[in-house]
Amino acid sequence: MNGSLDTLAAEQVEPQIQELESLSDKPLTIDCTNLEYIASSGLRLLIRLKKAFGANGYKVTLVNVNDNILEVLKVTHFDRLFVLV
Amino acid sequence: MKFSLKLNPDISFPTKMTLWVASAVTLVAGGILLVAANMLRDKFEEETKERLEEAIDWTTKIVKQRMLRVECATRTAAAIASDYTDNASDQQIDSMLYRTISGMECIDVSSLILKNEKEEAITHYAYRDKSHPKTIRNGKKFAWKNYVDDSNWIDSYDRGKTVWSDFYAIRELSHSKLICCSVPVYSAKGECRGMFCSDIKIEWITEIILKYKVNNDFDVAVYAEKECIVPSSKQIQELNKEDIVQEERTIDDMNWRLVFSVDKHEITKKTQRALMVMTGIIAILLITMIIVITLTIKFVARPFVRKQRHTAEVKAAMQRELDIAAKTQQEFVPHSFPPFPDHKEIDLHACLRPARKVGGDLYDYFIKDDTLYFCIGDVSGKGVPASLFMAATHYLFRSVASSLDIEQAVQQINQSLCSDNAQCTFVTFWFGILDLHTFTLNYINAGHNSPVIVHEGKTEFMPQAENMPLGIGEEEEYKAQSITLSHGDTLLLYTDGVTESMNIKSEQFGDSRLLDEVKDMSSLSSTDIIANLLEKIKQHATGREQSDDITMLSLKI
Repeated sequence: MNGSLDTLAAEQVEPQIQELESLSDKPLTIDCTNLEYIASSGLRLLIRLKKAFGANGYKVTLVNVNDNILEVLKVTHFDRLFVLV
Repeated sequence: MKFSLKLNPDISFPTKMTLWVASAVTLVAGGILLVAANMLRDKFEEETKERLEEAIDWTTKIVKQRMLRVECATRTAAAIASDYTDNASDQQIDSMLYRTISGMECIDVSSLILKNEKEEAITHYAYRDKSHPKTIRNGKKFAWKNYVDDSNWIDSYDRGKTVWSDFYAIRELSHSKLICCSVPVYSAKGECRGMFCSDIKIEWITEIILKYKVNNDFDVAVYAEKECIVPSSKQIQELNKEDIVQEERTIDDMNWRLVFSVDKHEITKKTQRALMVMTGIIAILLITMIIVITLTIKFVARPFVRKQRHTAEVKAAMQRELDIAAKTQQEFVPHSFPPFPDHKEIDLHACLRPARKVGGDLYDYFIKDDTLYFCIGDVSGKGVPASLFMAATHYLFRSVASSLDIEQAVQQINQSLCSDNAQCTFVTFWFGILDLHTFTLNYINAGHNSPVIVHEGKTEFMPQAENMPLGIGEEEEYKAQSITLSHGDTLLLYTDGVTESMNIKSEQFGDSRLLDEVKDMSSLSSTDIIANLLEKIKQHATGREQSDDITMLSLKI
C-alpha cells in the first residue's frame, strides 16, 4: 500500500478490496512500508479483510507499519486483530 | 405590400437561431452573387475579346500563308515562262500550264498572256474541270491595249509587281468567284512581255475563315473592296455597335477586311449560366448546413442540455435532501445550552461540526435520577454512510444507556451494531456515567481518543483500558474504569477531527498542543473552552478545507 489511505482513497480502492476478499483462501500479508497515513475508513477496510480471511482461519499480517499507524492501531486496539511484523 | 416576418413564439431558441443564421447566410450569399455577377461579366467579356483577337490574328496569318503559296507557285511559273516568250511551241506552253495547275490543287485557272509584236495579247489557259486539269490552247488574240485596261493587270505589267486582283468570274471556266495573282513575264533581254496569272476560288480563302464560325460562337464576316464576300449573320447585323464585341483585320494585298464579332448577349447568357451554377452550389451548401445544424441540435445539443438540466435538478434535489439530513442530524443531538439549568453543579457544553454536510461524529447526554449519562463517538468514514451508522449508535445509546449496567449497555450496543455490518463500519465510542452526588465517574472507552482531564492540578489524558471500537466483533467485552472527580475538575471529550486537523504544511494540531491549550483554559467555562478551542483549530487550519468531523464535549464540575 502506498501513500495515504484516507476516506476518499478508501472509497476508491473498494473494488480492489472486494477482489482481495474473494482470494481469502490463504493468509494475507500487507506491506505497509509506504503507507503514511490511515483514516478510520481505511481501518474499516483492514477490518473487512481481517474478517474475510479470519472466517477461513487465515491471518492478516501487516509488515513495516510506521509509528503513526501503529499508534492508531494501538489506540483503537486493532493491533490485537492483526499480526504485526 | 406590407412585409412582416413574425416567428412563432412557440418555436424553440435553437430553431430560431437556425432560421436567423440561414436568413443571414442567404442575404450574404445574395450579396456575394451580385458582386460575382459583375465580376464574372467583366471577366467573360475580357476573355471573349482575347479569344477574338487570337482567332482573327491566327486566321489572318493562315490566309496570308495560303496567298504566299499561290504567289510562289505563280512566280516560279512566270520565271519558267520567260524562256518561252520568244519561240516556244504551243505544246511547250500547254505542258507548262498543265504542270502548274496540277502542282497546286487550289489553282483553278492558270493563264499565260503574251504580247506579240503586233500589240496583240495572245492567251493560253489551263483550267480544272471537275478537279482534272485540262488545257485550252485557244491562242485567242485580243488587242493588248483593251486587255490590259484592267487596272490590276496594268499594275503588274507596267510596274513589274505581283498583284492580287479583286474577285471576278469567268463563267465558261468556273462557277466560283475567282481572284487572280498576276506576275510579270520577262524576255531573256529583260523586256516585259506579258503576265502569268493564277486564278483561285475565293472559297479556298474563305473556308479558313468560316472554319472559325463552325468551331466557335463567333460571327464572321469578310468584306472585299467593293462588296461583301461573307456577310454577318442577320442577328449581328441587327444589333447596335455597343452590343457587340468586335475585332477587325485587313489583308493588305487583297484589300480584304475580316470582321469577327460576338453578341454581348451571349456573354450575358454565359454569365447567367455560371451564376445559376453558383446559386445552385450555395443553395445546396445552405440546405446541408441547415440540416447539419438541425440534426446537431436535435441529436447532440438538446439531449446534452436536457441531460445537464436533469443532472442539475437531481443534484439540487440531493443537495436539498442533504441539507435536511444535516439539519436533522444537528437537531437530534442535544443542542440547547445550558442543557441543565437546574443542575448548577455541572457545566456542560458541546459542539458538532461535520466536514461534509452530514457526518459520523456524535455526542449525547441526558440526566436521569441525578445521574448524567454522556457519550461521544466517531464512526469510521464520513458523509452519508457514516451518518446513518451514527444515527443507529445514537438511538442504541438512548435506549440502553440508563437501563443496563455500563458494561452490559456497551456490549448491547456493540452487538446490535455488529449484526448485518458487512461493510465493517465501526465506531469509536466513549461512554460515561456520572453520579451527581458523589461525582464518581464510571466510563468505558471503546477505542476512542482518550479524553483530557484536569484533575488535582494535572492536565492529562485519561487512562484507558484496552477496548476495541464498537461494531468489530460481537464477542468483544468492554471493561469499565472509574474515577472520582472533585469540584473544579474539567473533562474534555473530543474526536480525532480535533487533534488531526491539519494546517497548510500538513502538520496536525496534535495531542500535546491540545493538552497545553486545555491547561491554559481550565479556569474558563465549558462554553468558552469549546469556543476558544474551535477558534484555535480554525486558526491552525487556515487555508485548508476541514477534512474530518470536529466534535467536542466539555464538562466542568
